[in-house]
Amino acid sequence: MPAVRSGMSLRLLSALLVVIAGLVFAACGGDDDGGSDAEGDSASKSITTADAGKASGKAVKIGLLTGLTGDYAPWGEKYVAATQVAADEINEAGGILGRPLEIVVADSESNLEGAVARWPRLAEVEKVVAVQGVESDGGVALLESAAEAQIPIICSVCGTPTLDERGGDYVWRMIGGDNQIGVALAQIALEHTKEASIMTEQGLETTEGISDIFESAFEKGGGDLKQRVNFGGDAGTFQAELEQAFGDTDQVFLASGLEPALRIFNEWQRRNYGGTFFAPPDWISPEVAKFGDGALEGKVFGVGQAFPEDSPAYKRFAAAYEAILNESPSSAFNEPPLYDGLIVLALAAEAAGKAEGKAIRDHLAEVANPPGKVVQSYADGIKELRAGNDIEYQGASGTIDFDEHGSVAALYAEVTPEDGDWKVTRTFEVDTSLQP
Amino acid sequence: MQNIVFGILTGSTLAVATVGFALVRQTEGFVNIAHGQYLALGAFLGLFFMESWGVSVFLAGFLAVVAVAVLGVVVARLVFDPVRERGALVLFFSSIGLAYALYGINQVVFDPAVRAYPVNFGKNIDLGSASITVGELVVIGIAAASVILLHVFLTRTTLGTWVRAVAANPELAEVRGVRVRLTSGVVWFIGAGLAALAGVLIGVLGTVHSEIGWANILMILAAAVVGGLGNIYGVIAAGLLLGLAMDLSTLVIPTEYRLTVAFAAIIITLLLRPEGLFTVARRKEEVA
Repeated sequence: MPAVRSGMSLRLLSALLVVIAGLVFAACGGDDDGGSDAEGDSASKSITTADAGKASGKAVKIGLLTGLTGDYAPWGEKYVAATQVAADEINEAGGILGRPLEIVVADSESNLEGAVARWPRLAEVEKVVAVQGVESDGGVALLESAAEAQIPIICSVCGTPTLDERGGDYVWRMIGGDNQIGVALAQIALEHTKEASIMTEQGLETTEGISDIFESAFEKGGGDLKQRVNFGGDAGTFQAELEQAFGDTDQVFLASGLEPALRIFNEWQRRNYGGTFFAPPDWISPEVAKFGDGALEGKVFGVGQAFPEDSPAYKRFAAAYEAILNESPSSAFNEPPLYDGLIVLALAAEAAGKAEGKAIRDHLAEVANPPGKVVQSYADGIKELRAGNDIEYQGASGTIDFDEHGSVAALYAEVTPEDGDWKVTRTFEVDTSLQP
Repeated sequence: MQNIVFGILTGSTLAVATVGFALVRQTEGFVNIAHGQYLALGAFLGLFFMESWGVSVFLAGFLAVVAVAVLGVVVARLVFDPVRERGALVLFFSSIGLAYALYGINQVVFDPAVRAYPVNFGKNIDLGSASITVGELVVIGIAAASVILLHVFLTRTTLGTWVRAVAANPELAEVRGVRVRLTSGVVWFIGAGLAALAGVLIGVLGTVHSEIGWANILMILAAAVVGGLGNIYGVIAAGLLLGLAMDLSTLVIPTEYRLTVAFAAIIITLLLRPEGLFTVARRKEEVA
């Protein structure tokens, strides 16, 4: 046996371990140099929009703060394209109050730290009048910053239950939140089974919140929750978690980000667990639909927002979107809320008569909620507003009726992977009797 | 019972990863933090060879191991040899810098998205209250074979004897005619190669992702401390033990605290038996 060689003392080694742990955790944190961009960096850029037409003067800036890297990166490009479609329409219609609209895109890195790090640049350097995009954790973290700066955020697809109570001041959203999505998921699960487990990625606002709501709704609906297994998204393996979750049932709601979900599917496939996963919007992505050459077909059922695909607004949006990305918006993703979010912000500025954060915030519900003349485009909206009429904007995502906390009740769709894409199998409304 | 199977799987790959780390530590005299990135590079390269060249997972793994092993020797000559005279601390911090450099290169060269080896693990073999797939058995077999081969190399070959001699006393070994530089090269070749092998095995069992190196270096350090940094067989046993402890711990504590078991093992070992659980040094001193 090789002998022991004296080297660094163990005391020194202990100290070094602490240093290493710090360095390693810093590296694993994934936020890299996210905080450095206050001095300006490549983390934000402006979208080049179509000809501003009749618009002139100093541009009105609106931020798009979204995950172009990290867990939500698969959606980043789609969200940018959806926003660009709206920005093009706004500029072609003469801009906001006659001024061209400029979109400043910033990468939230799909996490709280990235969103918080990018905010000062958007608010103080770029001086945006509103922001859209932002994931749940970032949206919650920016609640107070947005209020202090008086810059409204449309946290486009934030599900976090925190906004059920705290939304509607300077943070709004274009969906109903996990209070609805979690219940919708439980409804889907109850259609398939009366026994299920939950696997929850720890430490994320969105995954923990939706798990609580799913659990409550599933049990209210007569379901028997077998296990609730928590895990760290950066764990080296998920063997034990899968074993626990699939121990008493083969029906599992997996509340996680995309990256852990893909790793879990791999181990699930390796161990031949079979059964069914129920999917939150967080990992309804092309990667999952294509996973293992269709290995998840018939084994995953998720929930997405249902959009009125036959409406003129949706058709116009879809055509313009396809012209940018050479692909149609997917039925299961959330591009339409991004498109509508920007148009609502612009209409609110028009209604207010000034492109300032507080004024925009004060008029958001006014241009979207009834009563008012129904309009389905920005051009029609400003025409009616300038004629002195109240409007009710109905966009590509359908009716937008903000409640007192700035959330929108939605129609939901059950989706499942098929031929490498997500297909809608049915649409349904949330059963409010199952809500917590 | 199933958790024991999982523990053996985790432990066997951890043992392979740690034994190369310990070998370098013993003969080169410093803690090489870049070992985790060699592991990551092995995982990425194996996947690359499979996907791009269409070779089997076995050939892809072999090529990845050889490539990283050669890289380990080259990097040792270019990065560590020039600062060797400045002592273990400088070498240690150089290895941290190297780790970040390799991490960055991996990110740029390979797709950092989560990906899986396109392998089929075959049928489940029923073990009563547990099961194991054919593929998992192969992984355990490869891990065991690599450790046994290392043992044979160290105990039955001239080069292996040289490695042990350099580990014990490099100056004396040189005086006795051991070719220290050649031995050092062999150690780097084996150490980096074992890291790459562990990376391929871990990648095959789970997925390949950009943080795989950083995630595993902490476990490797834990196993090395528990086993005793100067004891190769100790770290093999510690790797297996830690793997078992982490997976069995999930029966009594929430699974998200599994990694905590590894760090608790470090703390307890450093407090109670800082030379490691399996080292015989103190016992020898006490006898003397």
